[in-house]
Amino acid sequence: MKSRVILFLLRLLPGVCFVLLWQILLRGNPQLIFYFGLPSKILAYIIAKTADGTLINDTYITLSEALIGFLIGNIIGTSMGLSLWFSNKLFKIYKPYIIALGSAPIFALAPLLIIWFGTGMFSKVMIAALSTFFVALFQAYSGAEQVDKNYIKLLKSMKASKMEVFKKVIAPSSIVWVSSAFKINVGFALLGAFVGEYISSNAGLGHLILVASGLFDISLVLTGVLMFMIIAIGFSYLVSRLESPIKKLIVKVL
Amino acid sequence: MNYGGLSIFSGLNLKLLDGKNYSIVGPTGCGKTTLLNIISGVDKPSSGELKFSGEENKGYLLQENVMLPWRTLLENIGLPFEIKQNVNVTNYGVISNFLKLFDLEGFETYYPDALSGGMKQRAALIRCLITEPNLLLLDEPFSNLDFDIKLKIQKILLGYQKQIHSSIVFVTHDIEDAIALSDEVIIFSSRPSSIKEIIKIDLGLTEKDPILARKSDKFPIYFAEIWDKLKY
Repeated sequence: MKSRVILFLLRLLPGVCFVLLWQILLRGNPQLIFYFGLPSKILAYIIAKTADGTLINDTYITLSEALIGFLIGNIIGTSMGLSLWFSNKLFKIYKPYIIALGSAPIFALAPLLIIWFGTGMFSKVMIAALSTFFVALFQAYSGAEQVDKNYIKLLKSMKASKMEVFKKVIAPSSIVWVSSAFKINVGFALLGAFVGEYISSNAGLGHLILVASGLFDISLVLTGVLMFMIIAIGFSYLVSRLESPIKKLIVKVL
Repeated sequence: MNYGGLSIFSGLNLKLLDGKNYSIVGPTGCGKTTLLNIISGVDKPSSGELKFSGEENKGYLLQENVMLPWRTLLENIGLPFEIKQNVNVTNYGVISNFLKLFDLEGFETYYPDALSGGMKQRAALIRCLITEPNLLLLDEPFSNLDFDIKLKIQKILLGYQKQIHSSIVFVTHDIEDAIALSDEVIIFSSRPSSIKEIIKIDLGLTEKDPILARKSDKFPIYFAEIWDKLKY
């Protein structure tokens, strides 16, 4: 317990030193503050914008877009990836298309999605969903493919049907791959929401950063970046906590 | 029989009778496991056929003693009951009885990672037995067991076999086990395999017993005979 406290303090030290140096070296130098911002100004923005509710609102909007997009992209991607296991032929046919679409920078499609789905939250949700979809699909299919052949042999020796092999072996065994897709996709979902907001929006952290950078208000830009980091950490933590309950659920339900 | 482009068996003819025990011994890579895969239906032969008289219910103990790592010991053993094909035999009382007999009581909620190789092997054997198969295919079923527990399990296995009237095919590299447990020891040649010789075992016992068998005068004679034929 004591060593954990010490570790925590040691971890805090570099960050605190960095912020202090930043504050001390740049204070009283308006030119440098113009380029790099100032910790005390960031703090002031956080307090002021939390008080008037705009920061909370922007964070809430970006988080909702990323979260909903994450859920849609991962659920559809994972179920399609796993179901491709049933037909190897189908996967072979669709593989080049999946690779082509998966390797295309989805964010290049973002302007298109905004034209199709409007400038509101929905288009951002779709960008986040699309950018997570292919990672989820690939990971799920790879997970299903990489299952230990002995597990399948065991089920076959019990005369299990293909559906039973899927339920008892493929689904629980791929969960490790699937959950690693979830972890990767936290970043992609947030990036998707950000890109959408950066292109066209009237709210959200991407909007905040776009407006602030237009005004050359670096401290406000960094306030937005800091909020992104906080969301990403919380989001990742949530996802990492879900792996083992999902696994248990799958074993019990299927 | 042909398998994956590789000729494994040539002119293999084998007849297995009800309630009898057979051991297959032979050099490494002679296709012993492949034969069990084919009999069990896990693999299909490229040529040749397999006939069963009457209803078949096979229990196959894989050499690897496969346990699904996300399931507890009890969930692993009960797996056959979750497969529709076997659903008519759900009987968890049988499992707890076996757990007691096989010294696994108290480990029901352990995950395979936390179990020794011998424990996994015993659990895998229980998983094969609980569906009361009339043909048991056991691939190196005792390879991870210490001598004392091995003899105990063999005794339980033979007793249970009488109760459920099943035949057993063992694949083993242990000549002593083969003699002690079998009515016939089938010696395979190396690939492409054929049956080199079938040796009928008669130790003069009223019923098979792994310990009495080893004490029999004829035991070392059979041992020497099989050893000479095998020439590892």
